[in-house]
Amino acid sequence: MLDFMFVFFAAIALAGGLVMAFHQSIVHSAFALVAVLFGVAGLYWTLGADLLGATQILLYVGGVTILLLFAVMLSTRDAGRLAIGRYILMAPVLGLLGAGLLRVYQGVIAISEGRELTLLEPEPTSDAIGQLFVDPHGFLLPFEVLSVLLLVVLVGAVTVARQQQEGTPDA
Amino acid sequence: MEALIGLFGELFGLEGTLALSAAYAVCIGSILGFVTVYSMFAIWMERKVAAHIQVRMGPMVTGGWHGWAQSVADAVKLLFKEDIIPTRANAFMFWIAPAVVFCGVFAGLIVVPFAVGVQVVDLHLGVFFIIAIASIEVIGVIIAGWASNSKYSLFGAVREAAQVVSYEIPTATALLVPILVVGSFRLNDFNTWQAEHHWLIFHSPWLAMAALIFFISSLAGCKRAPFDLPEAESELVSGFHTEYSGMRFSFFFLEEYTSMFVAALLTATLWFGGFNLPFVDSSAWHPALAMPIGIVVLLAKTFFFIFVQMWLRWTLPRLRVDQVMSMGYKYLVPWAFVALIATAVWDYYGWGWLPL
Amino acid sequence: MEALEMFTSDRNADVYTEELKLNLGPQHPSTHGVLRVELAMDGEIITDSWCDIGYLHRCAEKIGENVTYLQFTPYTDRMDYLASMNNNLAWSLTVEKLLDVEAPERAQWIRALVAELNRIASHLIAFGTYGIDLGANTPFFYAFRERESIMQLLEKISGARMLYNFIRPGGVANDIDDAWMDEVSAFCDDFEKRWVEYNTLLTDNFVFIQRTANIGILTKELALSNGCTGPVLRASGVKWDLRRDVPYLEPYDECEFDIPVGEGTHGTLGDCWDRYWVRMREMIESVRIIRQCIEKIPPGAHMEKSMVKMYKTPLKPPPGEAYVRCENPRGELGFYVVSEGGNSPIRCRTRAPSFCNLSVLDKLLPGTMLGDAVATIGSLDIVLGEVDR
Repeated sequence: MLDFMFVFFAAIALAGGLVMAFHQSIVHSAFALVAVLFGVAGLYWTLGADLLGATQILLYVGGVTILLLFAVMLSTRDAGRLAIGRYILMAPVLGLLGAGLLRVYQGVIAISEGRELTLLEPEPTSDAIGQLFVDPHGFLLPFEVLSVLLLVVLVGAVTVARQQQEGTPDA
Repeated sequence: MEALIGLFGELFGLEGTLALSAAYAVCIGSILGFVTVYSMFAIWMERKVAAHIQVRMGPMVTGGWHGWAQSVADAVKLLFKEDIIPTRANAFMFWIAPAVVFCGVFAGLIVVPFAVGVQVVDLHLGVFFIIAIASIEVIGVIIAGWASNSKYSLFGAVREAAQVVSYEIPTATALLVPILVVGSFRLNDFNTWQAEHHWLIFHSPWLAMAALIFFISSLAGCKRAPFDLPEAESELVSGFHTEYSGMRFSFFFLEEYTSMFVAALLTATLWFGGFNLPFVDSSAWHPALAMPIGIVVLLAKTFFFIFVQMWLRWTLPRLRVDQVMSMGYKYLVPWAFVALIATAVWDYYGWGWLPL
Repeated sequence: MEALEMFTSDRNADVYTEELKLNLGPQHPSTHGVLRVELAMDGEIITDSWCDIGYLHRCAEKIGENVTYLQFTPYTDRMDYLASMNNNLAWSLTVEKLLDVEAPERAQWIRALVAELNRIASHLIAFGTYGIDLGANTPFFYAFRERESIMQLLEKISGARMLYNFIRPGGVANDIDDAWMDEVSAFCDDFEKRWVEYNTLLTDNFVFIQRTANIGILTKELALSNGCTGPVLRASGVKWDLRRDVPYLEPYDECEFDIPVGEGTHGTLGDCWDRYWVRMREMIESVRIIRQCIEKIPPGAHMEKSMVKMYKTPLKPPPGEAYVRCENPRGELGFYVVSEGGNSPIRCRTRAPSFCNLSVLDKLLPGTMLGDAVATIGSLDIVLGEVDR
C-alpha cells in the first residue's frame, strides 16, 4: 500500500515537474507547480513526515502558489517564455546537475547495500517537532530568529505596498 | 476502519493490502454517499429556511410532503443537463477544476469522528489535516476562474483566493486555542477531553471568543454571506462558476455545502462537546447504544450551526471586498492572537472554568 | 474608446496591474433591466465608466405621434412600468391642458390617492431590489408582500395589476366606493407597522450602512447641473418637490405632508444611504397623503361631463402646445405635446426622470469599487423602460 502511494505521489510530482518545465503557457506551468508541491507533500506523508506534509499543503499549495498564480495571471500575458534555443543552452548545466544527482543516488545505494531494511511504522512527528522548537538546546534560537525575520519581511512588505499606494485614497 | 478490515477478512477471506483497499473503498464510498445525501438535504433545508425567513413557503410540491424531493429532482435535472464548455475556455483545466475543488473539502471528512469508532482514519493531525487539505479548494477555484475565459469568473476567482488565503489565518489561529487547551490535534481527543471535563466553549471567555472568531472566519472560508463575494450574484453574476453548467456546476454546490458541513462540524466538535450529550456521561455505554446516539447528537449540533449559517445568509447584506479584508486583518486576526495568548496565560495559572 | 487608450498608455509605473474592461450588462442581475455600463477596472477599482442605453427603446414618442391622444395613455403605462398611475396622470394633465378642461374635484382626489398608492408600490420595489443589489435577499420579499396588497387594491378599481390605464384625460376611469377606501386605510395601518420592520431589517443594519454611507456621493451642484429630480435630487439636500412647489392637483395643495431631504445621517450628504432613506420616508409621507385623501374626498363626478362626449369621437384639441410636469416616484416626469388640431399630436416628447438621473452615473462611478457601482446604480433607482422609452 505504502509502495503504491509512494509511486502515485512520485508520479504526480514528476509529471507536474515535466509539465511545469516544458509547457508553453506560464499559467499552466504555475498550475503544474501546484501538482509538484502536492506530490512532494504526499511523498513526505508516505515517508512518515506527516506534519511536514500537511504544512507543505497548507503553506505552499494553499498559500504561496496562490500568490504566485496571482502574479502570473494578473500581471503578464503568456509572454516571456523561454525559446527552445535557450533550452539547448541550458543543456550542459542540466546534464551536470543530472550527473550529480546520479552520483548521490549511487552513494545512497552503496550505503544501504547489504543492510537489512526495516520499514518502521510511521509515528506522529508533531510532538517531537514541537518539543524541538521550544527546547533551548534544540531549535529555539533558529526558530525565534526566523520568526523575527518573517516579521521584518511582513512589515517591509506593508511598507512597500503603502509607498506604492501613495496618492490613491486608502480604499 | 479496523473493524471493517476484520469484517472483510472474515466474510471474503481478504487479507493485507486487499482488505485495506476494500475497506478504504467502502469508507470513501459511504462518505461520498453521505455527502451527496447530506447536500441534497442541506439544499432543501436552505430553501426552506430562506423561504420561511422571507415569508413564503419554498418548494411545496415535489415529492409530496413539503417538497422534500425537490433536491433529488434538481440533481437528476443537473445530471441530464448539457455539459457546456465555453468555446475559448481551456477545456482540460475547465474540466478538472470542479474535481480539485471538491477533493479538498471531501478529503477533510475522512478524519472526522462521527461517533465512537465511526471514523475512517483516526489521524494524529486531525484538525490540522482538515485545514491543510481544505486549502486545495482555492487552487481549484482559481483554475475554474481562469479556465472559464470570462471576466466575471476571473474576478470571482481572484476574490476567492484573496479572501480564503486571508481568512485561513484567523481560522487556523482560532483553532489553535482549543488545541492548546486539549493538547492534541486529534479530533477524538477533543471528544474524550470534553466528556471528561466540560465543553470547551465554557472553558474560558477566550475560548468562547475563539469559537466566535472561528465561526465568522469559517463563513468567509465557505464563501457564505455576508462574505459571499466570490459568487456575489448582484456583482459578478455567479463569480467563478458563471460558465459552469450541469454536473460540473453541481460539484461547486456540493463543495460549498460540504465545506459548510465541515465548518459546522468543527465548531460542534471542538467547542460544543462533539458527540457527547450535555450533562450525561455516555463513556460507559455499550458501543451499540453510544454509536447511534453519538451520530445523532453530533449531527444535531452540526445542523444547528448550519442553520445559523443559513440564517445569517438570508439576513445580512453582503460586505464589500475591502471591508471583508479589513475585517479579517484588522479585527479577526488580532483578536484570534489575543485569544490564543490569553488562553495560554489562563491555563498556565490554572484558572477554572466560568461558573455557570 | 480614446479615453481608454490614453489611460492605458499613460501608465509608466514599474509595477501595474493590467486594466480590465468589464461589461456590466445588458444582461446582468443588478442593472435593473437592460442597462449596459462598460467599466474600466484597475483590480476592484473602477477607473472609468461608459453608460450605454437604448436596449429597451420602443419608439414610444414616435408612437405617440401616430395614435390618438386617448390611445397613447396605455403607452405611458409602459414607460415607467412601476408607476403607471403617475405616468397616466402626467399625460392626462397634459392633454387636459391642451384641451383647456379640468378634471372634476373628486377625480382630482382619486388621482392623488391612486398616484400616492402607486408611489409606495414603486418605492417598495426600489427598497427591495436595493437590498438584493447589496446581497440581502430577504427585504425584497417583504416589500413584495406589501406591494401585492397595493396591486390588488388598484386591480379592484382599474382591473389591471400593473399597467392600469386608469387616470384618463378628463378624470379617472371608474369611481371608487367607501368599501374600497376602508381597505386602503386598513392597508395604511398595516403598512406603517411593516415600515418599521423594514428599518430593522435593512435601514439600520450595520453592514448595510457600511455599504451605502459615503458611497456614490452626489453633490448638490452635480445633481442640479445634470437635471436630477425626485428623491435623487432631494437626497442631495435640495428641497424641490413639484407636489409642494407647483401643485398640479388640488389635494397636494390642501394636504399636509413633509418633503424628506437628505441629511447625511451616516456619512456625506447625497450618498447612497441618503437616497435610500429619502425614499423610505417618502413612503410614510405618501401614507399620510392617502389618509387625508380618504378623509377629505368630496362627492361628485369622477369624469368631466364634456369629456364623456368627446370620448365617442377622437379628441381633437385646438392647435397649440402644452407641457406639464408631475412628481413621479423617480422624479419629474414631463410631457410636451404639440397639436395642430388633428387626431394625434404632431410632436410628443417625454422628459423622463430616470434618464436625467442616470446621466450622473458616469460621474459617480470612477474611483469606487465594483460593489459600490452596484450600490450606486441601485440607489439611483432607474427604470429602463423610462430611460429608453
